[in-house]
Amino acid sequence: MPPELPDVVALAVPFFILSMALEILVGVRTGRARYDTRDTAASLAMGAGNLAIGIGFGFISYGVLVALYPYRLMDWGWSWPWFALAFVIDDLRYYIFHRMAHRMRWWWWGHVTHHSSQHYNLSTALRQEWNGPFNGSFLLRAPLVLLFGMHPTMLVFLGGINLVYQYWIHTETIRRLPAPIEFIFNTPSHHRVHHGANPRYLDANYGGTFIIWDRLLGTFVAEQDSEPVRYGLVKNIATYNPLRIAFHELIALTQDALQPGLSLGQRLGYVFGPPGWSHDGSRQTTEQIQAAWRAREGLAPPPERERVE
Amino acid sequence: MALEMPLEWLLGLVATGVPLAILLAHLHGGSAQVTLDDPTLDHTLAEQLPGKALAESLISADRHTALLRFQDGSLGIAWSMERHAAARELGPLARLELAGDTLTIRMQDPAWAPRQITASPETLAPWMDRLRTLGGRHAA
Repeated sequence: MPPELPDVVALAVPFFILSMALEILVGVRTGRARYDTRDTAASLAMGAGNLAIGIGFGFISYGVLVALYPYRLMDWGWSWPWFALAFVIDDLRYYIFHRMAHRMRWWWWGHVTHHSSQHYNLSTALRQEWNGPFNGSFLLRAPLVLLFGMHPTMLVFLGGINLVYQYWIHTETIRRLPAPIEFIFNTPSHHRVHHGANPRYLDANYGGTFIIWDRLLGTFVAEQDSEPVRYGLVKNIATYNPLRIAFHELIALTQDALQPGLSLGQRLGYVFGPPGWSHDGSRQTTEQIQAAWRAREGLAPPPERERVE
Repeated sequence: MALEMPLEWLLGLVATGVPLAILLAHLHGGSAQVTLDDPTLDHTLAEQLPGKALAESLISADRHTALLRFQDGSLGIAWSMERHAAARELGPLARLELAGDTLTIRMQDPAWAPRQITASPETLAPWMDRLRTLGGRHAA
């Protein structure tokens, strides 16, 4: 029997509210955090909806993983060292998911929600997708259950810790942390880059708790003091309606994939290709945006992405 | 026994915390809205549509929306989002409505809510002609 583990996200809700209030109060004084009323309301509505959907439908993904658990190849321990090791492995799982969520439109249509604010503050952290239990991303946890024998209860617990960790890094009030921390962990500075729409910063720093995955896998980009991060999307949205925020990209994806005259491969390209892919080349992917930026700036292609500081 | 948050507490916290945060944001100037002018447009375009050179613009009387014509002949729109401005190239339109001095643009893109531009009918007329080339249903 697995031990009873707390719902860390629910327990963190008071911390979310208090820290946001503090950031609003401090941000005004220091000018380091900005909260726009309707943007904040939209972000919190998306967060509340995400919480409700998780409570209402989380059993779907959890149930599938529980059903797989009897077929595990080994048993994972329940002592704290096993939890710690599982957390590191699950954080790599998160890196893979997050990278795919940016590089495959099927998962981007949900994750775009989180990037749709032009602000970067603690409320942005709560601007979460509404399709979590339905998009199949939980299947990335299946290997952890089957190969390592990690119990779904443990994975939900660890996922909650990872999510709460990522909450506090959505802030401009903290510039840089000591170098060893910046080297190992995802920090406000690294995650600001991740939320950047500047060509230099696109599709970088996917790590959840640890930034080492990005350093090892070539997706790390350091924040440049000379180039402030412009938050939001390459093509920003212009709505505060939670339903539009949640589903606009799914609607666009559907419109693209169902337009007449396309081959099956082209339809699949709109669903599983990267954001910005188009059958006629009329849009730009990250690589094309960055190539155009390099050409404008006179930079040698491709830019050296920093792997290890 | 694991530490738990009773559902009633969770709902209560969300129900009070969300309005509290929104109220705090409002009380600390969060409802201010940028107004569009030429420097703001130039800055927004440089950031969000680099490579697009502006040929002509029409800023609405309320200064919250602007129609743009670029040197390559394409059309765009910019509008204020509280303290930010957003800009994009205009694609296929869903509907154009001209009623007196107010032009309402509805885009097919669900991420962009309908916008209104207010100007004199004479000023709006050439823009209406240009916008008609983008398709959609027209009402005047």
